[in-house]
Amino acid sequence: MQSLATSSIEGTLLSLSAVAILLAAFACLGSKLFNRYVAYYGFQSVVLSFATAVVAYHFRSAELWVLAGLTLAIKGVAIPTVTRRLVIRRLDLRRDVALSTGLSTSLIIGALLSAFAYLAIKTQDLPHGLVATSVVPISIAVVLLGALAMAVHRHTLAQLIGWLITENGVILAAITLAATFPFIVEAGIFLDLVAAVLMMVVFVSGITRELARATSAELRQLQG
Amino acid sequence: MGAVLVAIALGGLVAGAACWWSGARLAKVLSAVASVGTFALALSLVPAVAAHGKVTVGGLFRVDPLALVFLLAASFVYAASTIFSLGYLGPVKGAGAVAEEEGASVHVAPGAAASRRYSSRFFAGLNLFGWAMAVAVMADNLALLWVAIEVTTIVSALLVAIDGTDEAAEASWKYVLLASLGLGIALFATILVYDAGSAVFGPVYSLSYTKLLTGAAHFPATVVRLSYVLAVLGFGTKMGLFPVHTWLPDAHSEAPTPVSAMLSGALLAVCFYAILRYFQIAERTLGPGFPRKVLLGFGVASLLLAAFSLLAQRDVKRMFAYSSVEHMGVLAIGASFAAPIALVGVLLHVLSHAAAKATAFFGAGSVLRKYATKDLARVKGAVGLLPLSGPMLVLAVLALSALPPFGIFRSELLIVAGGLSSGGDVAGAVLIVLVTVAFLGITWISVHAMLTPSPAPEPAHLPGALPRALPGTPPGTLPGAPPGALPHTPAGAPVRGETSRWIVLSMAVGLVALVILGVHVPGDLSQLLTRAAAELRVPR
Repeated sequence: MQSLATSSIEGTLLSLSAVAILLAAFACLGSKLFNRYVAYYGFQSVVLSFATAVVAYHFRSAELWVLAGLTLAIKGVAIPTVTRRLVIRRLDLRRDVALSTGLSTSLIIGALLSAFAYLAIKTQDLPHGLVATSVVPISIAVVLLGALAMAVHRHTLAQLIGWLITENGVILAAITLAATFPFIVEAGIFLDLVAAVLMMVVFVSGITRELARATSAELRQLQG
Repeated sequence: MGAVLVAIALGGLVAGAACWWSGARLAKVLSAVASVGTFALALSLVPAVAAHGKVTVGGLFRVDPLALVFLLAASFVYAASTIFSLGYLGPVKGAGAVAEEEGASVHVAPGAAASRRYSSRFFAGLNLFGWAMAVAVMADNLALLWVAIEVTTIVSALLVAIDGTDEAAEASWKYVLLASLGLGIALFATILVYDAGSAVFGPVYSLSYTKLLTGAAHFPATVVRLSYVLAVLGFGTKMGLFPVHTWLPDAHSEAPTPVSAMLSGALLAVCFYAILRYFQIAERTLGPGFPRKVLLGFGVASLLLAAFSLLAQRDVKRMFAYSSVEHMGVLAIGASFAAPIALVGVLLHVLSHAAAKATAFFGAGSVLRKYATKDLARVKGAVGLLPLSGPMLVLAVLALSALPPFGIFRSELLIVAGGLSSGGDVAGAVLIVLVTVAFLGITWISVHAMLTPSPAPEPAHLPGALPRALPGTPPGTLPGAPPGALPHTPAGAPVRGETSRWIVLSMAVGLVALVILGVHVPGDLSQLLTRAAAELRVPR
């Protein structure tokens, strides 16, 4: 496990970033206003970019610097801005009323999922004194919270951002556990970006134009 | 033999790119050459791999017996689907007037009206889809495997949506969202394996199987266990295992038929292959108990859901989609049995399922071209109207229901025999019961549709057929149509005859393969299956 030590400054910064990322995921889960939901996602991505930069600094890894820049530019700035401008303003979506459960219920489920993440990973079996021991459960919790956001929100845009939250969780785990992996940081993340861009394109124009207007609660034609 | 791998890895990519810029006719020729060529090349690898164990190219590609089984399945479906597409995108001969009612969601092949752009895009997508699956299977690297499967998601999601209907867009959205979520989880699993390996190999190394399998015995158990569960869940999303299968019936039923065949016959198997790679690692680190139990749980749950969902289906492609969930459940259960004979059965099942499901989808495509509907309640006497593809569809359905003399009968027999011999009595019994339920569902509905005589010209004199159909009629399929009416009866009933020679050819090829797999597996292939099954067990 080539992780940072908890005692180092970089390790502390990474842990703090992970906590902020987890809180941002909860904030997303708890926000009914689209603007805030997107803003919290943007904040989460900026923190993730900062965490990536910290790890990049520690390992002196050029690839991770690139990744940090990409995360900041695409996930921290471009996606929130584009979403806000194109979708929220143009389609005048203010509040997401199409939730499948109440906000408080989803927050409670989110808390249970986070607890589950800690139990599932059995932190006591992991080596002590490494950042990974605390950050990996957090990243699993973020993945689960993103999936929960996808399930709770019925609007396709909100579901898309839920998916992007899970991706943030995965990247958090990647920079913590596999900072020196020669391949995955470029190829894996690049493909995620491609997928994200593709989904945005698909979403904003072309085939799912109708979906942008419909909440997916109305998309009930395919059942069974 | 390394050149063969390079040729496979380039063929589909080059053909796909060329199709994008070429006209419809050239695209068809290119696709046919690329896909049939890929399958032929894969076949040519069989003797060498069966004899020597593996073929490698640098650190990039590696085809061992296990990979070759899946490569054969994927490239066979790729080739057959391309042949089918040659007919599918052609003009519809001898059909009645195609339903053009407003709001009708009948799934009509674009036919002669299809623009040239549609053809080019379609074939480009099909080739890239086949290519990405071949690369996924040949890759000697868990990260490359993940990347290739991610590429299949992107390409296939676009192909699902290519018809541009609202339902297709919805199905595609659901698919891309769930599949990406699954692949995110699978990426997490990949990272964890890398982390586990760094305990043995140091901080920088490549995730090649050869390397991972040699060191796996010394990986930290906690990390590997977590990684394995996440891999089963993540790749299981795309494979159609129970809790995360929900995209599958939608995507399979809304996609153009050749794409449905590729999704079901090939892509699900490729994702199973990815799970098996993690299985190999987990088995070496954790011992066989835990990895098998995980597969058994997912497999039984999937089979249970699919068997009972099959009883309630009316849409023919949706029915085959649930049948895919069923067969993936069978695969997972089979892999959880310890006996070598069950593992041989699993690999044979991969091949036979690919052939049977592709053929069944082709038959369904042929029927819905003819009738311009997917609602089985409207399809009566298809055997009478489609003299060749009708009976072949019935045969494919029987093959899917595991009747002899087809391959699935043999493979399920091997799996059950292996389960019983290795002490999995309960699991074996559950398997038999659920497969029988699924058999009832799929056979009852489809044989009813295929063999009931055609309706009389006057729809009014059709008692019984329709009242049952109405509650289950999906929204959008001509709710106001008179009972028993084919959507296009006003313009004249469909004429007896096939809609395309290519469709008949693709189905015939599939059936021949099924019979070969069921009656007598050729020597080399049999040896290949045995060797591949041996790879799934920790050498002692």
